[in-house]
Amino acid sequence: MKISKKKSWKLMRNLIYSLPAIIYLTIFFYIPLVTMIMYSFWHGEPLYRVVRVFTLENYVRFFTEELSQNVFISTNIISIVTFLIILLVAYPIAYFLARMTSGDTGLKIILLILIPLEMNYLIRIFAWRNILGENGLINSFLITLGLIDQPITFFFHSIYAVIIVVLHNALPYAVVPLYITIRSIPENLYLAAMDLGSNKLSVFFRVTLPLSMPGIAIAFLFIYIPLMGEFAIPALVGGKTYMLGNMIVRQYLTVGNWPYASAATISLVSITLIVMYVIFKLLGVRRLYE
Amino acid sequence: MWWNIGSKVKGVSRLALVIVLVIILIGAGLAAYSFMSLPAQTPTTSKVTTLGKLTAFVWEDFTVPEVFNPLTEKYPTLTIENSIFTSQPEMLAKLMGGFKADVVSPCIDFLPRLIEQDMLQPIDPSRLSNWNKLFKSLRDYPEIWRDGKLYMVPTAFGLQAGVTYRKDKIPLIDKWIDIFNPAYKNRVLILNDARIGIVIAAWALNYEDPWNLGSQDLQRIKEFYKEHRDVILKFYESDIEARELLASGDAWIIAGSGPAHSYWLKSEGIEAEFTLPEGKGIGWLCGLSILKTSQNFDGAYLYIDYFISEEPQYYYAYEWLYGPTNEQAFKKLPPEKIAESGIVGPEKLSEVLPLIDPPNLDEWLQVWEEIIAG
Repeated sequence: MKISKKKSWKLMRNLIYSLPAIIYLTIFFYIPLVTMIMYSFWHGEPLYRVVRVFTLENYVRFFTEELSQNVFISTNIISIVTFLIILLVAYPIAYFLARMTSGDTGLKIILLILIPLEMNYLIRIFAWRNILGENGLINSFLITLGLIDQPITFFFHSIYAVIIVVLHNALPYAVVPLYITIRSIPENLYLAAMDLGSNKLSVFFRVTLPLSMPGIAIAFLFIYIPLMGEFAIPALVGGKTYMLGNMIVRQYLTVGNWPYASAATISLVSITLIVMYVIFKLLGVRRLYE
Repeated sequence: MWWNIGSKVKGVSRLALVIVLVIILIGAGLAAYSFMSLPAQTPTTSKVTTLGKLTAFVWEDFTVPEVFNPLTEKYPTLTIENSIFTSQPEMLAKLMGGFKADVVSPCIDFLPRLIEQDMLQPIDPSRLSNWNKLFKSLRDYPEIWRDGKLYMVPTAFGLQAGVTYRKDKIPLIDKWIDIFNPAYKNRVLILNDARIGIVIAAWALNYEDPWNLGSQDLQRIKEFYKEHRDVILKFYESDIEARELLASGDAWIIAGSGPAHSYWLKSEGIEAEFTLPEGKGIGWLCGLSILKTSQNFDGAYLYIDYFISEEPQYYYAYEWLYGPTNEQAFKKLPPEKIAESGIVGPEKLSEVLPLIDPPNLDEWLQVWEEIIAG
């Protein structure tokens, strides 16, 4: 009896503690989400014409139409390639900070890496326009050095510009989880591997890399999920690059077919949730909490 | 002592703290909300009793201090609340969502949608002292009337869907097909608008009546864009961005623009030129309408009458290069300003295509999306 009273008191206390979060999420997340789900099952036409009858046509269209399939595939390719490039840059940084610095030096450098995130997201994108443009910083610099005669144009208003800007924006989101996981690998595992005859390369591939997989998984989620819905970067520096986020924004704001836009959004959320689940399962993210 | 409670029953103490914090937060939120909800406690309280409050759901143009402040000075007892939209689809969506206002500023292409949704109140032109000062051709413009009733008072007009190009980078552009020259690889900006984008390609392909394109024609236009995709730098949405790209030299051609770009670029020392290849372009006409949800018709008429009066019309023409609908304002413009800026008289509107919806708009939107997605 005593225990049960204590338990119910604890439950009550937890409920009160979580009340602000519940209220916040209900108003700003669950209600909009439920509204969007409802819209996705209604019949819609351009210019905000909505007929409130149940239909699956929006989902059928999203998954079967050539246009959305192509955009979905190209967005996935861009997101995965971008993630791999970020990983190639972030991993050595995280490895260096976790394994080759002493004391809290690594942490201090991590803080320095995080500082650019304090700057407004759009301002960061606009800054890149001035760096990558035909008369931008990079071209001016290369011309001044005499390395090129004509400005390089391929990395402005192109897919390359999208990758460069995402790399800059997302790098901290990859470095931090990788740093944490690499740092948490016990030192004696390295020593044991060395004792058993492994060289440094072998230690990396057989100890460090497998044990840093949860960090890679977290980095993947931090980068892949936002990129799947990204629309500002392609719109501002991507030229003709057209990603899923751009398609959804266009359906909401220009075409005005909210049911289809909602179905595309819900489909995107569902797909990313499935990807998240698979990644968590495959790469052993759970280990981070144990 | 009360502070000892914490050490004795730690959980309760924390709980009490959290409850107090939550109460404070909710209290602060409610206080802030009620503060924001309070009617403005300003000297305007007494003004409300005379001309009342007017909600104007308009483009940002109508709120610039140079024009808006003289209006509030002229009618000090009229309290105007501006709500701004940045695109006509946004305007329509908000109105369909139940937004209530007194006046709205549509353009000729969206006006039929508002009329068909039964959102607009017919306007009595005899209540506008400046109505007869508008160009006759604009007063009689067919699209602003429906069943003998006036639904929009024209406030500005001009040309769009022309070409602005860098004279120092490329030779004269005579024909619409010229902008798709492979030599201009990644140098062309096309307006990201289904109607204008498709009409531009239709002109390049020598279609006589671009507003009447069937499925096969649209597929041909899609193929045309596919073949010439390399010349396009991007499908632009912001005029400022397009101008910036032309100024920086990243782009050489803006297709879908009005004459204002070249005027502003020239004033910055950039060799830009505006042209309507083959004399083909699209005209726009925007104005003010009264919504059925209006609670202040007197205020709405005063508001509209002010914006078609000479002073604001002259300001928009001189500073923003809009075609003035008020004839006196047009006549007052210095001839050199008209020559430099590309401001045209209303007779030009009859020489170009009006911006309207094609009968198969849904198909146009779908094809355009396929074009921009590549």
